[in-house]
Amino acid sequence: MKVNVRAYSLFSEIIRDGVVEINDYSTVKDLIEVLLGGLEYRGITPIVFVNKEKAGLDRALRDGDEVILAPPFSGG
Amino acid sequence: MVFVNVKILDRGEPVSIDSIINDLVREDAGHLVGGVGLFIGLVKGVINGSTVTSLEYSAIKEVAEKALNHIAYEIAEKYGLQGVLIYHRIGDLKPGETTLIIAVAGKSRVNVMPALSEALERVKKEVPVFKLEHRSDGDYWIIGDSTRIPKKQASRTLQPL
Repeated sequence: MKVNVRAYSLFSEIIRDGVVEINDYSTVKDLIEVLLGGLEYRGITPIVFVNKEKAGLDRALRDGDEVILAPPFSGG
Repeated sequence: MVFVNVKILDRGEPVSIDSIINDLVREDAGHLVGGVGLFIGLVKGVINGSTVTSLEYSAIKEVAEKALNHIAYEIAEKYGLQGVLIYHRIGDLKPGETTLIIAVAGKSRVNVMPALSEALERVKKEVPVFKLEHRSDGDYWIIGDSTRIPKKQASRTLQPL
């Protein structure tokens, strides 16, 4: 299946926004491991949104989902 | 009735303090408001002895506006406010430019000042906004409140299909 991936802040160093093909029945955890080669990048664990809702590692993905990876927020 | 207005603003979109105050008290027909608390964040020009040339903000816009709205209504209810307004800018902002504007209207300083402080802390932690600091000694991602990680030119691992 294919999911649309967007990355913010330092995750944009390693992930290019676009469509990623992953195995059917993949979870958020599976996708992160594909994208980052582990569950963190440069010591930072991503916060994940699926279709603009915050999602945990065990969230099952579906074809066409939009997945966003972001670090802890730094507004202000 | 509580007035709430939240926005993600682009760099250069003008904001008038008079219009903020007018907005906050427009619905206050009974003149319950006795004070407006206002916080304006600015880009600092010096960090850790280095000159900041700009602070580049990005946001997950739809999620950020939803989070700002949620914070505004919760703060209004908790402190019995008549109005809450939160504007956060995105874009490449120069030192001295405004980044964040929070205004709260209530009966007195007793509810206005703690509401303003809590709204600010919540915006910093709960709204998906991100910063890249451009400095004389390099570019740094700001992660969370104050962690800085030098930006590197990464070799992208995945290409779009």
